[in-house]
Amino acid sequence: MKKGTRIHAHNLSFCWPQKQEFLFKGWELEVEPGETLCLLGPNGCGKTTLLEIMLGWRKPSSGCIQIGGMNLSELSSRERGQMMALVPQEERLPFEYCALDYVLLGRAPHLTPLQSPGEKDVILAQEALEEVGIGHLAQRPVPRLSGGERRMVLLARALAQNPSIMLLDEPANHLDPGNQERMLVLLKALQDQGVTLVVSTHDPEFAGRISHKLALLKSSESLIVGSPQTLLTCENLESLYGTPVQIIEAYGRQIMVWGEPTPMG
Amino acid sequence: MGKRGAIVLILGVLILITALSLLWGRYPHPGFTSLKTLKNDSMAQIVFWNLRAPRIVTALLLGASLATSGSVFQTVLGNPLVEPGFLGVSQGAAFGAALAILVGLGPWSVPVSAVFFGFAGLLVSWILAKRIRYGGAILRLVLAGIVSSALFSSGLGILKIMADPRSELPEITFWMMGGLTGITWGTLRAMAFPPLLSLVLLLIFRWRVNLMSLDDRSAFALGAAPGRERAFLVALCVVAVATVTAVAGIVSWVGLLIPHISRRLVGADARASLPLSLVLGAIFVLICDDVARGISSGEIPLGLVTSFAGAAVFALLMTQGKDRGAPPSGRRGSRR
Repeated sequence: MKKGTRIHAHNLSFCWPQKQEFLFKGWELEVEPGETLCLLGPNGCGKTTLLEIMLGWRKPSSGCIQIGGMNLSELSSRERGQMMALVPQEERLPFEYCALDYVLLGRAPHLTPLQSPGEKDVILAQEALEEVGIGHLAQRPVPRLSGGERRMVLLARALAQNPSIMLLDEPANHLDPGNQERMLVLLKALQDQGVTLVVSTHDPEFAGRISHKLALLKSSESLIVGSPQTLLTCENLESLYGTPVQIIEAYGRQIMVWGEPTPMG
Repeated sequence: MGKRGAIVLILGVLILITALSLLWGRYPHPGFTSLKTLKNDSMAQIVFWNLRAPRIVTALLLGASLATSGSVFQTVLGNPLVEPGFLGVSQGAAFGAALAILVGLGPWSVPVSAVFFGFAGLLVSWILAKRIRYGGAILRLVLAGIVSSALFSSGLGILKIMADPRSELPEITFWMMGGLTGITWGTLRAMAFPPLLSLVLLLIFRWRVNLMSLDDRSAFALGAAPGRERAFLVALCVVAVATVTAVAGIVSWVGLLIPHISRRLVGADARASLPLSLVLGAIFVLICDDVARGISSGEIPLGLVTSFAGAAVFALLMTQGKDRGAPPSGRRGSRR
């Protein structure tokens, strides 16, 4: 069992350069070790930006991120890479790397700049591919994989990084229902290993099934944080997305029906 | 064929072609010099040791530098269509050479001025790239490279108009077409160190070159410092390319073509494709230079031979062979 790491975003504000209004202002956010936080909010509300700030890729306008009690900006890039991995939605890849070589890049933070990956790293990369269920595609060029397989390769690369925090940008987006379920199962497995997860998503059902904690990115002033049980209500979702919603309970799950109800017949 | 077999094969080809090149030339008569002649004819020995040998070593170094830098450039800038001279280096060097020819400070001033302005071309690109407030790091560098190249090539055009059409203009034109005429051991000693150092460092860091093919944010998430590391790798390439260009003039197509062939043969991973580029580039330029100096009684500019052979091979490469599937797609480039 891996030890997850705690994330604390303290008094976080962000404003795009040369823009007046803040994307967010004075946000306070805590994720306990091993906990899963889902970020929900409409397009353009700053989910990806928040992930990028947590990664250290963007600097907040004010406030700070603490990772396991350390200030993010004080960590070296290698320490940060060993601790935290990002699974982006999609990645530009101009060359035909095979899946194994690509996943092997995940070992980079564990190697010194002069080192090349060794046999042990290759084994770890192959294991990561097996773990996401595409071990048989190890020698296939990544650009020739399907969208779903490419997402799994990105996840495998993050697994090869062996992080205690994983940031995922809409991991289930653009996946077919089968792959969405597989992604969910893989994320649950990471939870069982004690990895801290921060997941942005457009799917409140997905968020409800996986998160311990939910953050609704409603407006720059207000970030609502709480448990999914208390926050996933019709009122909250309607005001978050600006469209009517009905929530139905079935098979022990919440199902959301969006839009104006259309009369049958 | 195993990995070891492939390495032995390619190095064997390199040694064989080098040996044949040493024997190939127009003295005492066109074609291959026999070992018997070499033993008895003292003039042939001088040609062999003092003309052919340094020229062949320079050709190898030139090809290796251009192809390796091309491979690194394409990977690091995430663009399979760039070549190492393109960040203003080639055009800057050409401008510098033309300026030195026009001012007429003697033959040594030409390579020195070429190196100087090659770096000036890079500096212009660099400053511009820092100041462009638009797009990711790679896009900014590419745009700045285009601007810098255009500046220096228009400057070069002005110099050409000012040049004496009977003496200076042909010299400028010939320099721009590239060539290794008149290379001596002295020339080689003076220029060999920077490209050799760059090549060794690039080979050492070659796995990390892969990391830089990712967009900035992904490279950052993998514990790299994309801006700094890209700049370091690009600088190494430019040192190598500016130096060899100063001596040989503009030898085009090598840096574009060889990395493509190399990736085709062994895949994108720079651990294999970078060393292969190095060796293939050396072999390619050596063969082209053999053609340039040995086919006709007059010297053919090396740049013409590499362009012709390069374009022909490139066309074949792109149209023949098995389908490589749909082109790689990509959305969401680097941001920041």
